[in-house]
Amino acid sequence: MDLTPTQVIHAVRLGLRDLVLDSKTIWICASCETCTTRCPQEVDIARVMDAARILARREGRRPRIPEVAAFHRSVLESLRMFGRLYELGAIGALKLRTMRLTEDLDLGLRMFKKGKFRFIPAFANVLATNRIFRRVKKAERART
Amino acid sequence: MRFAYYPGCSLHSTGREYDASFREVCARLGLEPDEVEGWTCCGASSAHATSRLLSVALAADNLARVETAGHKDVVVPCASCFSRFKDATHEIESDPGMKAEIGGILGRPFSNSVKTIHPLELLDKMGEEGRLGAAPVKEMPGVRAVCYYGCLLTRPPKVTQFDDCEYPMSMDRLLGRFGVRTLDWSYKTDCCGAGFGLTRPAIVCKLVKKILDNASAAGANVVAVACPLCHANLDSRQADLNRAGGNGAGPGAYKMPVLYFTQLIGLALGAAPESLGLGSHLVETAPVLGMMR
Ligand code: SF4
Repeated sequence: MDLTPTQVIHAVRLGLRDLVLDSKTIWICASCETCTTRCPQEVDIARVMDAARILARREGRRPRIPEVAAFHRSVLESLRMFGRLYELGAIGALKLRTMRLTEDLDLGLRMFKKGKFRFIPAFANVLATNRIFRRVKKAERART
Repeated sequence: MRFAYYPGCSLHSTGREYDASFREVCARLGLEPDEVEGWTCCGASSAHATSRLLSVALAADNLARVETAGHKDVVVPCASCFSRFKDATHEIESDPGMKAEIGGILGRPFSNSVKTIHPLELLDKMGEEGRLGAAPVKEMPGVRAVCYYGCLLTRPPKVTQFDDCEYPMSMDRLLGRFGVRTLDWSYKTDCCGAGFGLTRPAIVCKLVKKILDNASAAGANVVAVACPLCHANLDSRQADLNRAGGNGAGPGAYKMPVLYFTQLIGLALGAAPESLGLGSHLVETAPVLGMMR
């Protein structure tokens, strides 16, 4: 984290848009909701982090932690393709995107041996899910 | 008792043992989970990092399926799915325009009437009311468990309305009813690094180390979890920690069995370890069997 959550909130209040949207913090935040839960002023900090990620992406900014953005893209891609998350496929797509092909390879193999992964993706309501993605996009476009 | 059951993607792959052990426990307690037909992914952490509306819509789509099936409650064991469902319900309740907008996106009416429940809440309540349909048949005198609740069951409390957000006790209480001794410790609701296992494993290792070290310091020999992602992180990163030098008691010292609370209950109820998926963890679970009689 290059900014602490407190600094992010302060920067938002000061209108320092670039500082927030180009920070590493917004991508390193794990959405654990501890800050939101404990804030004495009831500021929903985790939601601010979400908003910053959404804005950064919408504005076409290059994410400062590209692999996290690539992770989200791979997951949603898998969801559109199958209606459910196909873990092996999504991990493969992520590895190709980030070119970190060998990291955790042994862990992957050990999990594989334990039968943790599905070989064949399960399909569920793919068309309906894609319709949701399209309609959400349309609704959001109409708003901006 | 019948209720809608949403397993979610993890319980059909990396968290398969959670699904198997939950079903096993249900069967032994006379509960009938009715898997939501045609369920789709709730969007997990990736949808809400990408679009607010998408994250609500993907979860609501599944809640609408539960409504269509005629159920009032849906039981969701994955903490991440649980949190997405709770969030969608809360969001639609608190934003007056949202219900109509979501109905339009789903292309069918949606009344936002379904209550999302975690198996811990379901079983804890049954226990409180003396309605657990079976008593333990095995004793576990050697087991000293710490209950790890993680982030998303309890937080944010306004949305999840689950137990106490800083020091929850429902899992402790429930396991106690099945003769499992649980201990006080400091990391019940600390974060394990969640989805960063795939993108920033070093962060996950650091957090997992803190959690496991505190569990050991408290005297635990088992960590009980209620989330497939917590399980994956706590179970799979112990080998990395050992490679990085262990915990001071020498390399190879991290070998803490991490069990789903449903696996511990299943064992207490006399279920076979295989039917609870105990063989598919990365850290050996056999020592736990040695602590039973
Ligand atoms: S949600 Fe968790 S990781 Fe994100 S800023 Fe808040 S405390 Fe930090």
